[in-house]
Amino acid sequence: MISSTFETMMNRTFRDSLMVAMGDSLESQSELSARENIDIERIDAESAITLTISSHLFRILIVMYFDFNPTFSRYLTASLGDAAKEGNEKTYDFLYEVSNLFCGTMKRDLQTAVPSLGMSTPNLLKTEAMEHVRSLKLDQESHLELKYQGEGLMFASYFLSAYGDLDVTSVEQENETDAGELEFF
Amino acid sequence: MSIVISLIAGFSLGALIVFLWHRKKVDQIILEYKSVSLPEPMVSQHQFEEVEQALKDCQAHSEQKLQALESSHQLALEKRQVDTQSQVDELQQEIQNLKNTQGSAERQVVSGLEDLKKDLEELSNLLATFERWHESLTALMGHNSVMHKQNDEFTKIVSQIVILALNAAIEAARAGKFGKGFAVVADEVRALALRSQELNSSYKDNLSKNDFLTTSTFQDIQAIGKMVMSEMHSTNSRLENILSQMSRLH
Repeated sequence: MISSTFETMMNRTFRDSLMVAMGDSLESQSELSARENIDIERIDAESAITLTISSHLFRILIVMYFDFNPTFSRYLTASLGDAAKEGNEKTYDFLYEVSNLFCGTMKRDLQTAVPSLGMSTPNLLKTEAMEHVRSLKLDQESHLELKYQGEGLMFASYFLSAYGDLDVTSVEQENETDAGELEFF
Repeated sequence: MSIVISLIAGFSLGALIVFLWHRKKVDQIILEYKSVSLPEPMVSQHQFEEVEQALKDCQAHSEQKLQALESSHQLALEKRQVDTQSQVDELQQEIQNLKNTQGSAERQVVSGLEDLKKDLEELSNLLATFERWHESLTALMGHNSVMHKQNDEFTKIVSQIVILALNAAIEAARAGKFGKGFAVVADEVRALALRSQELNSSYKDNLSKNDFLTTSTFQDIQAIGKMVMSEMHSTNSRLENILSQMSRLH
């Protein structure tokens, strides 16, 4: 069973972590805004970066949907400068780094409730592959749209599969040092 | 034991005091007897000597008793010393036995902990396994990508066949009764092309599902693996702390 406090914490950390990760490379994070609880049918993008946070109690699949539309290209230029070009290695490395930061921040927050957690490395998929997400046992999900300077930048989702009771209890973090770090092989 | 010794010592002291008092009294009596010239002796010389002899006997008896008491006291003291030393020896032996047992238990615990630490260190090589899995997944995704491209190519070919079959059907219709046989063939080709198109679409969908399931399963395994690694690292640190504290105790 997922308690309402856990659900609230999940939604909060999902939004805040994405804002932190996407705003990290910008001069001002105020250029970003989030529109929460959107319908999954509204998500329209070509590519998706996925990451997973797992424990013995749950599995959370985190997805960042994007395509190289003009707003996204402007955001990349603001973050990376002239190096930002559609599909080049530096751009994808940057996006993987952002997704790692996003997921790492969420992982650190979740460790207050469940101390033992692990996080995967990111993978790039075509968005059409995400149509099969329903083949997982899903117990909770949320989707939001991120805007940059008031225009649609990208979408993000999380899909939670619970394998035990999930509640927020104050647990001292045992290993704060590795939380949120970038995890690349 | 101490009460008996105290009683013996007290009795000895009392006897000594009585003996000294008696001796002083006899000396006093003798002095008085010598200084006073009695007109007529009250007791005979013989009686006097008897009394004197009795007193001497009494003195000798008291000295014997005192010696016996002192000897007994000395024996008691020696026995007590021997008993005490024996108890001390036994206690020291027990302490040594306990120390030996404790030392043996500690060595066993330390040895067990060191074995456990070694096992954990060997397990930490799992990281190489994760890297291998990651490479395998990358290869699998690359293979899926090739299959996607081939499928896209196949989709184009099937679409062209559908158009060709349609054109063939139109040409057969233009040919009138001479094109009837060709029209049947064109219809069959078109029907096959449409079935291929459906199959192709389903195949493409399955490839996408394959991408999703492969990626999500791999990520779950990878995340759980990292969780296990983190727990192992934490357990290893705690083991090192315990071993360090145990080594500081010695």
